[in-house]
Amino acid sequence: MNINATLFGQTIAFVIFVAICWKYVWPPIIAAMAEREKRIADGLEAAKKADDSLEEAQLAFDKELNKAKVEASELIDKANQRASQIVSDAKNKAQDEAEKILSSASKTIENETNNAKEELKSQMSEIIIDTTQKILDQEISPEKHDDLLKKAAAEL
Amino acid sequence: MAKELTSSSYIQHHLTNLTCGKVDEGWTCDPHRVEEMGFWAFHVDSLGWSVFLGIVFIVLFRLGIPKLTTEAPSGLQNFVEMVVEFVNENVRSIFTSATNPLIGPIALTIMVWVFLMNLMDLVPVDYLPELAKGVGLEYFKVVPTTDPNITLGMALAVFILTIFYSIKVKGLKGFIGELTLHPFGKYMIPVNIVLEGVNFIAKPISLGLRLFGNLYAGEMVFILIALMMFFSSFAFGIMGIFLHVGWALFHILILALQAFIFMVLTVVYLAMAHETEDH
Amino acid sequence: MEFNILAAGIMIGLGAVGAAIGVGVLGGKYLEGAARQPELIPLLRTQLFIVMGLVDAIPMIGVGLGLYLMFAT
Repeated sequence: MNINATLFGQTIAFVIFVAICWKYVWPPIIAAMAEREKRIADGLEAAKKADDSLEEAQLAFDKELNKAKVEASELIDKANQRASQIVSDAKNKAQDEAEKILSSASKTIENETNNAKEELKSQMSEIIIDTTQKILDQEISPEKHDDLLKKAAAEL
Repeated sequence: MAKELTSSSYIQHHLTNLTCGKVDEGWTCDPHRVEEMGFWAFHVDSLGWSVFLGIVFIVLFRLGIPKLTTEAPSGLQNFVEMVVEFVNENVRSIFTSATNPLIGPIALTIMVWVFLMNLMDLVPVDYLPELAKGVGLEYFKVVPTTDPNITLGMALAVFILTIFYSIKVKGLKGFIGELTLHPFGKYMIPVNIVLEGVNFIAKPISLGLRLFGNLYAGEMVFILIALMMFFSSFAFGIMGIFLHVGWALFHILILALQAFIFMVLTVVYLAMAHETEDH
Repeated sequence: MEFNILAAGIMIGLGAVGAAIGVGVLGGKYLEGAARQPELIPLLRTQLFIVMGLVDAIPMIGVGLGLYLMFAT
């Protein structure tokens, strides 16, 4: 238990080992650890960034999708409108046409009827006159005949 | 030999270092001439083991390095990094105001080295001395930290570092001022010198003696347990084995704790040396 | 020789008393602190072990020297 020069020997050994540790052991370990820490931090950062960009992309995608949906529905609306317009136009046109046809047809019919009536009238009056002439030729005097003619003409 | 083997001589034998020193004829390791060597003698066993364990520390911590990757570490590297991180964490929690790149390596060296030296305590007390006896060395003490020279030597190194950094950080004037002007102001300088001086000197001595005392007591208990083998009763011998295991398990805690405390106190002293403001 | 044993007994015994009181107070305070702020337990445990090592050292040194006095002289 006596104190002797071992004391200084140990002091010197201690200093030497601290120096070795300081020069050769400590820095690479600390550097490696710091680097790993940095890499992990970078990785986390990158992951976060990727997450963010994914979210952004999702947002953009949603936006585009919505826009497309709106556009599509607008388009469909327009198309529907157009279609209904076309249909109604066609309907109107058809109705007009039909009316026109109807009216022309009725006009024609009227005309025909009138013509037929006129013809019929004239034919009938001729027939009547003929018949009456035939009858009157026998029984009526020329005076009476004239008289009758006048009467008939007035009646007609 | 069997005749002179009493408990007292057994213990004495275990507590005597292999001492080499200079006598009139030159260098010798003769245990009977230790008295002649005076101060300039070396405990070759303590020094040898401490240097060997220091090399073990360096090799152990260097070995992890060639393979140091920044990928997930494994095996030895994992252990090394764990220890370094632990030390670094402690240093950072104590060294809040100042920074010094040397503190980390000092703390790491102290903790691992002291722990390894303490760990030699767990080697059963007779193995290595008996081996040494086979080689022809009469005395051989294995655990370096049971030698006060070793612990006080390290404390001395810490003490010198403390003074060095005190002067470096505060300047010579500040350092002397801290020693002389402290508790009572400048009109009581002699009293201050005595008080602060005692405080100043007591730090390294208590630092070294604490480690030494703990390890010495532990070693002593191990030796006494080993002594039980020499009692005539067989039952005592069996009991000794259990006692040895129990004490060793408990002692592991003390070994690690003392290494850790030596480190923490060193860092605290060095941190105090870096503090510039008055307190 | 007899006085050696007496001295060792006093040394170990008084050291044990002091350390027991110290560690008791320390452990009690640690538990109080841990109960009050459980999130500080890791920090407190480190400090606990440091102070326990400091307190523990004195009786251990006493035991070592006492055993030395008893058996080796």
